Amino acid sequence: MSERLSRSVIEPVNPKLNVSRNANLPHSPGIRVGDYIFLSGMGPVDPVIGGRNLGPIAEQIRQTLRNMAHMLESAGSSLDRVIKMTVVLADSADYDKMNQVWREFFPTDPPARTTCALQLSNGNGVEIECIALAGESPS
Amino acid sequence: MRDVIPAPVPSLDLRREYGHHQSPAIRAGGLIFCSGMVAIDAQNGERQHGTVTSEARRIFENLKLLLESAGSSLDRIVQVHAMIYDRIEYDVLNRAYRQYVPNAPPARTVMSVQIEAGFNVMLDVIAAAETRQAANMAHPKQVIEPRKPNGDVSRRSDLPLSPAIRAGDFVFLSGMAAIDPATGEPAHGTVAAETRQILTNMGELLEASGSSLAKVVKVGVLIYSMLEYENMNLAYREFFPIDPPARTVCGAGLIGGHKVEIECVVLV
Repeated sequence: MSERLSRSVIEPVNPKLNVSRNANLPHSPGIRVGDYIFLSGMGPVDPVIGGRNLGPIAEQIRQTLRNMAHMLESAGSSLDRVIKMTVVLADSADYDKMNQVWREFFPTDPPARTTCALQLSNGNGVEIECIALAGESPS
Repeated sequence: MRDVIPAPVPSLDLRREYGHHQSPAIRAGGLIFCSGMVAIDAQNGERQHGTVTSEARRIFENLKLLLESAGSSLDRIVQVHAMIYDRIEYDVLNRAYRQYVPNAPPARTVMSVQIEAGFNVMLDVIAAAETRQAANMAHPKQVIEPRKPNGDVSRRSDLPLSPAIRAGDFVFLSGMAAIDPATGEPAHGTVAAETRQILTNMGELLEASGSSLAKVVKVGVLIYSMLEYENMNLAYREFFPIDPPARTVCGAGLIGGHKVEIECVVLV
């Protein structure tokens, strides 16, 4: 059975977390294609004020993962449906702290993951993107 | 089905022109995985170094040819890793970029990395094919475990990541560094030695999931310095003798003192 593969934009319910729209950037928060969701790289944005939340690195990572959960739930998916994550740290010395936070969010069957250290802008300590399975409900 | 998408014109085949051991793109499971694209002259294959703007434009023109030759198009792009040599040119990239994806642009992560041959821009793209066979969702999400737990750093060190996850038509592997499967210790060595160790371990992990290196669709290689590109490429080609996967290679800071890290997506 062959099907026409649908492609649709995913946006967060909370408009403060719609960074690409608010800053007029040329990317979508996420794209659903068929059964998969691809999210753009996300940073530690405060969901109340919409600005950056540049606290300690562990808190930046928690904030980013909470925002990612919100983005996925806005599309009928969830963090436990994440398959693959790519993590960019500004400082590779934060790797152990990242793993501690990861255990809080992914106690069982964590996603596949690749981590590297790259230059980030605006003082962000972390940026995270993911591929997830879409929810059960058809789009 | 794992189909190699040939270059739309021979000059855009980096394997032919520069010996990069990769296919221009691979179509599998309804998606088209493109190799990392840099500014190549479609007429004669020459590298056209320029500004962020001129390189981005040339890449998008070539990408348009590639995707349309495979029955897709720029407006079917799903995800882009937009690599630039320095984040200071982020807004310059955006200005050129938005002209090619004006409506419902793809998901994107901008990464500041070292790019092959001194280029300023490289685009790593996944696009939706026009149609696909109905996906096999009998295994909506399943963790793949290695046969030798000692040889997998995530299990041995109790890291909060899975070696691989199967979801639908694909298995997504975590980035792998060189580990001695007998001891589980890091196998630090030359770039060629680390590449061989990683791909050997990767082949065993894939066989544990009922797959193999021959079914790899897309490979991402992180290397500590692009000056060692050829050392990686020469070892890499031993493992993919025919129809190599689409591939993106970039220079980045790696964790744990490794020189190479490799991830991949595989068709089940």
